[in-house]
Formats: sequence, C-alpha cells, structure tokens
Amino acid sequence: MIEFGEASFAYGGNIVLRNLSVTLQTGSFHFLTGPSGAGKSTFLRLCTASLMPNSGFVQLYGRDTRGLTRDEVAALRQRLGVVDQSTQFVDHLTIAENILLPVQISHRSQTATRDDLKDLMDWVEISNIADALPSQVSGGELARASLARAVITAPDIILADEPTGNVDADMAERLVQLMVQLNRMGKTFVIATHDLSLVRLVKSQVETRILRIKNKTLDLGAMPL
Amino acid sequence: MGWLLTITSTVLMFLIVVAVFLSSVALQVSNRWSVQLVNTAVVQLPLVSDGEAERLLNAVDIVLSRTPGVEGYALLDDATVRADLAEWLGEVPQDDLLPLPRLIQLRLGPAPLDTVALQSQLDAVAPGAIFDDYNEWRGPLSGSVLAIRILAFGSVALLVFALAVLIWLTIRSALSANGKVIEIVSQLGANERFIRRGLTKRYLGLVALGALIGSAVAMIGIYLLPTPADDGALLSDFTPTLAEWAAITAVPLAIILLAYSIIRQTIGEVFSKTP
Repeated sequence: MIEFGEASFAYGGNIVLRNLSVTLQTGSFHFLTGPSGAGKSTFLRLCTASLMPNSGFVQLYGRDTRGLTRDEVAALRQRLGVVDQSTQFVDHLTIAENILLPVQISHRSQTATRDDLKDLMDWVEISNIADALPSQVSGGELARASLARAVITAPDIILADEPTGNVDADMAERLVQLMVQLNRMGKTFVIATHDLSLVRLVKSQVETRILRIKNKTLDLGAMPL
Repeated sequence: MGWLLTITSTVLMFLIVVAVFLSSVALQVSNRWSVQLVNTAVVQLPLVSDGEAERLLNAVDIVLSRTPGVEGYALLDDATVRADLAEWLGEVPQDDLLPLPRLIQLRLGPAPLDTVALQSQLDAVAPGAIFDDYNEWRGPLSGSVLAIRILAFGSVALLVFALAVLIWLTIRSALSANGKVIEIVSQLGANERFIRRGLTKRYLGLVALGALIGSAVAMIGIYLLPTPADDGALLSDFTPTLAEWAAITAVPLAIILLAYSIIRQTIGEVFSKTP
C-alpha cells in the first residue's frame, strides 16, 4: 500500500532521511517514533506526496509518487486521511463544514454522509461546536475535529501526526478506541507520536509495528519502552 | 475584497454601457450625415414672385439637364423642406411671412462635376441661385464624426481594459490571500479543477452581480432619456433601436465572458507557478 525503497530526502543540502526501505501493508498499524526533528513529519509528508524523495522511491498504492501528475496526486490523497500536527482548517467555514470538505472534494453524496457526520461528531464529542468557526474553539476540539475529518470518507490509510497531542487523557483514550475500531475494519494507520502511553494502549488491543527513526534511518526492530 | 470587486464592476459597467450608447449615438449621427451628404447636392433658388419663380425654374432645369455629373434632380416640395429643416430646428411653423426656401435636390453621378462652371451658368440664368454640394460642411463634420467615434470607442476600450485589469489584480490578490485554503483543500485531495471551479464560481459571481447592476442602472437611464416628442424636437431622436438595445444588452454578457476567461487564465497562471 505504501512502500519506501531506499528513499532519501534532504532539505537543501541537509539530509533528513536516508535510505528508508519499508512496506506498510493494508490493515496494518504503525507507530512512527523518534526524537523531535528526527524526520517523522517529513516521513508522513513523503507518504502524502507533499514531498518527493531525492533518491530512491516512495510508492503509494503501487504508484511511484515522483511520476504522478497533480491530478493523480489529488486522487490518491482522497484515499488518505491526514491528521496534521498543525491542524489546518478553513477559517470561514464552520467545524461541520470543514469536516465535510473531503466529502465535497471527492464528490460523494453529502446527504448520506450527514448522518455519519453526526455520529462521528457525537463520538469525538464535538457536536456542540458543529456550527462554530475554527477560531472559536479550543485546540483539543480542533484536534478531534481533525480526526473526524480524516476518517469521514473512510479512507484506506490514515496518517496522523501527534493526534493526541492536544487532548486530555480521557479523550485520547476515546480516540484510540476509534482508531482501533477502524483498524479492525481494515484501515491502515501510521501514527507519528511521542506519547508512549498511546502506543501501549493501542498495542494492547491490535497488532502494531514500531518504526523508530534514529540517525536519519529507520530502526525497524525497535520496541516501545 | 469581494464586495470591492462587485462595486467597482458596477461603476465600470455603468460607464461602459453609457459609453457604448454614446458610441451608437455618434454612429447614428455620422451615418445620418453621411447618407444625407454623400452624392447629393442642392441648388437653392432665390426668393422671387411666383411668375418669376417659374421662369427661373425652367432656366435652371435646362442648365442642370445639360451639366455632366448631374444624374438627376427634383424640386423639393414644401413638406420635404419643412421635414428637413425640422431635423435641425425642430417643428417649423407654417407662416406666410416666413417663406420656405425653394430647393432643387441633385443626385450626383460618377462623372466629375465642374462646380465652378455650374455656379457660373446658374449666375447667368438665375442670379441669386446657389449651388451647394455641402463641401463647406462635409470636411469639418467628417472630422468631428471621426473624433467622436474615436473618443467613444476609445472610452469603451479603456473602460473594458480597466475592468479587465481590476479583475486580474483582484483574482491574484485573492489567490494570495486564499493560499492557506488552497493548501488545505489540496492536502485533502482537491484537484486543480475543483479549486479552479470554486474560485471561478465565487469571483465570476461577484463580477456578474456588479455587471448586471451597473448595466441595468445605465439602461434605465438611457430608457428615461427625453425623446423628441417630449422636448419639442430640438434634438434628434437618439432612442436606441431594437438592434441597439440588443447590442447594449450584449455588453454585460460579453464582459461576464471576458471576466470568466480572465479568471480562469489567472488561476491557471498561478497554479502553473505553484510547485
């Protein structure tokens, strides 16, 4: 589903990731760990074709990201759900409208999805802010809205950068339950996190794999503490 | 930003429609003058008693029938003279103390006409008769008509250009201001077509709204212009014909099409430079 083959990436002359080779299979659950600045976000951006490797390749659904046209990248991104570290929302749209954006973009029936939206917003406990603008809600609520937006179209792969960074322990547990449930439905997860309790919580329920970025390369045999 | 585009479109559209109308008036006037002046001339007979007038008419008839370059001629009746004068002076009242001039209208052919020789012959047989081929009028009038046409069409072209530049600038600044939105929707899988459609719909809507309001106000203004019947016919009737109304109505539609093309072009340019 996602394959890195000897992929390296450098910003200017500064190498961030070197010779990464890994395959993320359908339905798998991966944690991406490593110290701050190790390149976790860069790894995720390579997965979404927002960045292209300088050498080697990254394949998404069997397609080398470097050979994709803009429209093809867009079509592939519709099959991804992304929870970004710096959660991005369109300021003049309400939270509900922001969550529905991927539905609009992928031209799915909005009527059918409105029920899902309600359930999803109930689940992440943000129904009360459905009509609020992003500037009117807290960081934790935005993080939950971001997760709701990432899963609204039931994408095959969900990439999340510190998804529980801005929420309390209770909500973090609820989000984990949601992720576990989706993974059991066959969704693939790649989660970049510092939060070892999150890793333990998920690992106790589904099979996970730890990808630790160390010295700009992947340590595939790493185990969480 | 959006409402500024609508307001400016409204004002410019109003001016464009008025300028188009004025161009059409200029064309009407120049066409009228051209039709009246080209290949025609007139001989004005002196005001004399009825008996003498008959003699003069016969003498002038003989001269004209023998003059090369004159293809045909006819004495204008009073009604025609009165109607011609009304074009310039408004309704001419019937008054015996104010006799109408007696005019013979000439239709000129392709053969060259020796106007000096003709005037000499007229002087010989009908002293006081004046040959007028409108040359004295034609030169300055043609110059004025040309100047009016250039001014009118130049104004329309400049206004359309100003509107086009305004749309272009607004779209570019809007795209810069909406950079974050474009980035977000791109990350969510929106392709260029989706983003282009959304932006085109929004900005075309704003321009179209302004264009429709501006042109509607201008058209109402034109419709409410006084007609000759209202003002005693001192002015010519410049009320647009059906075809002219159609042309005026086509202006906002053409501007909306132009705006559509500029918006798409500008968005395309910006995207082509986006990595």
